[in-house]
Amino acid sequence: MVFNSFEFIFVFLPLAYLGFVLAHRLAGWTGAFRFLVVASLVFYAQWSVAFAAILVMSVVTNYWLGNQIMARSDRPDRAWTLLLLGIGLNLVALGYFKYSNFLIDIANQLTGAGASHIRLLLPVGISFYTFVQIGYLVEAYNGRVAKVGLDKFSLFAAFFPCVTAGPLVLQREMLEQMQDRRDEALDVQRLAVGLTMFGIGLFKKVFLADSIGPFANTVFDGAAAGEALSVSIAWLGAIAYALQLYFDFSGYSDMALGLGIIFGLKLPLNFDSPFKATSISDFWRRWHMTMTRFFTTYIYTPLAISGMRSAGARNSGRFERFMMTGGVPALVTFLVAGIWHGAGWTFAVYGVIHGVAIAINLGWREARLPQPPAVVGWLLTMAVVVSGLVVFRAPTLDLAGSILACMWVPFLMTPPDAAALVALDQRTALATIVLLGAIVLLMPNSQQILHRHWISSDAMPATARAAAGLMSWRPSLALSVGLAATFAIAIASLGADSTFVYYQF
Amino acid sequence: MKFYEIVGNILGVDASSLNEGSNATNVPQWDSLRHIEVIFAVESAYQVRFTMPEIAGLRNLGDMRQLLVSKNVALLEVNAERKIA
Repeated sequence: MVFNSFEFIFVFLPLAYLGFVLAHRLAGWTGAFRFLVVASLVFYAQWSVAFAAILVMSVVTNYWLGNQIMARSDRPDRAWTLLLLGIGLNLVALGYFKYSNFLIDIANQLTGAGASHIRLLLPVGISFYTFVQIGYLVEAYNGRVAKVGLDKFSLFAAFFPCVTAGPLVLQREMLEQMQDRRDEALDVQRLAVGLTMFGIGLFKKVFLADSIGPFANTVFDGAAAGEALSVSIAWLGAIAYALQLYFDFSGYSDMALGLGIIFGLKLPLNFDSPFKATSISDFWRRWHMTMTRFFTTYIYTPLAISGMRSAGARNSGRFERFMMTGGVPALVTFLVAGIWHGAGWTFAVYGVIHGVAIAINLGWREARLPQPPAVVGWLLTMAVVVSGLVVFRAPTLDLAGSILACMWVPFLMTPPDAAALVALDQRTALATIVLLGAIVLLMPNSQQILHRHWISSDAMPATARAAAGLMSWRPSLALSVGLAATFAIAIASLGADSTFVYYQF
Repeated sequence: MKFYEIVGNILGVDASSLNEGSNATNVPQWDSLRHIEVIFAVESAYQVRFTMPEIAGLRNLGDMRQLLVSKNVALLEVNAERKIA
């Protein structure tokens, strides 16, 4: 059951809200939170009861492991062993479902054996809830989580707005909101703000992402079928995909944050106008922000610190020192982040492209080279992002390579319209790209529009108010009509069998 | 050198612009690479070593000062703490 479905919007959501308010009436916030645990399980079990059983096993095991780690806070060596065991168990479970067939392929290539694939379905959201709980175990070891009951832990680990595709939450930001709650569950303003955020996200997904998606599909599928691309078609397809993914995933994230508000638990921000970034580091501070936070905290920083210590001990030169504290950690971090997305070489290469770009960006500043004008920075950043997403989207590296060659290598470029076999309506594609491009570059983002009723567990940046300008949300008749129209368009566009791109990860 | 001067030097900002609440979200120059260098510079200056859990728990410069105090470091500015404005 996806957020952009009739069943979710007209059946699950109203029933869940009713149950939530009733549970609060009968048993206060404790009751309301327990109800949300059950609602989350029901939501998740719509995919498959077997998947729900896997989720329950994962949550209970991690809850137990966290408690064991915390109970050994005075014996760091034992807590460390338990932490490694816990991370190992999580990775084995994730690896079994997600990477078995990829590993079989690699083994077949190396040995020449012809082992066949295992028939496995990937439990939806397993990458997300596994990593959220690995983060929890690390924080338990670091002494940064509180011991709570299984009900609150389950809600943190499997809250239905974020269990399938994030945002990747931290225990403390969820728990802070579960303790000492005094406010009412039924709060009309919160409902209005949450539904507005949800509506914006739904519009982004079903109207914007799903309108531009077919252009990207035409180009990628045509290229995969061996048809020739012209330089303009390759670029249109690549940019269309970047916009599709943005509206798809940021639309999903807006819907998740909106649901969080409705049910009384604000979530961290996941997007902050990434296409306005003027450097690749800036991009990653704005794109899938909770994933960046996760990998920076748990991979980049520990690697960089050990690199720094070893460079310090060996009295390394400036370049070696930079590589050990910045370059190599960035590369490893993004390689892991790439593979986290999926089992395949394309995701590994996607990670490496961004790792190298980040390392160059860090090195540039480290060498104190002159900063390029913002527009140059923006163009370079977008070139890396759009090209990277070609690799991300393409089913094979060969195909990614041939599309990128059409885009970038002059002597391989075919002139526009000549020899192109892919049947793309270039004018409509271009017009859609210009329209959606104007939205991402010129308009405030969802959280900026709603800055008067801050929608996230993250602190509001000082710039949000100014960025919203005239589009600042406040309840009024005109705005209600506008929002109702947005909702109506979104609802009318429902029905197509369209899921979120990130559900596959 | 004093605590805020050490940090300001690494970040390339004036020490007087830093206070207990300073961190990566409110100092634009403070990126992930500088973060590592700040930790290293403070460790070297005060001859201490932070553990990973200690580093993970740092939210701002105030936390780092407290951590130094807990390691029995005599901070030169200890009587002139800069509270968050």
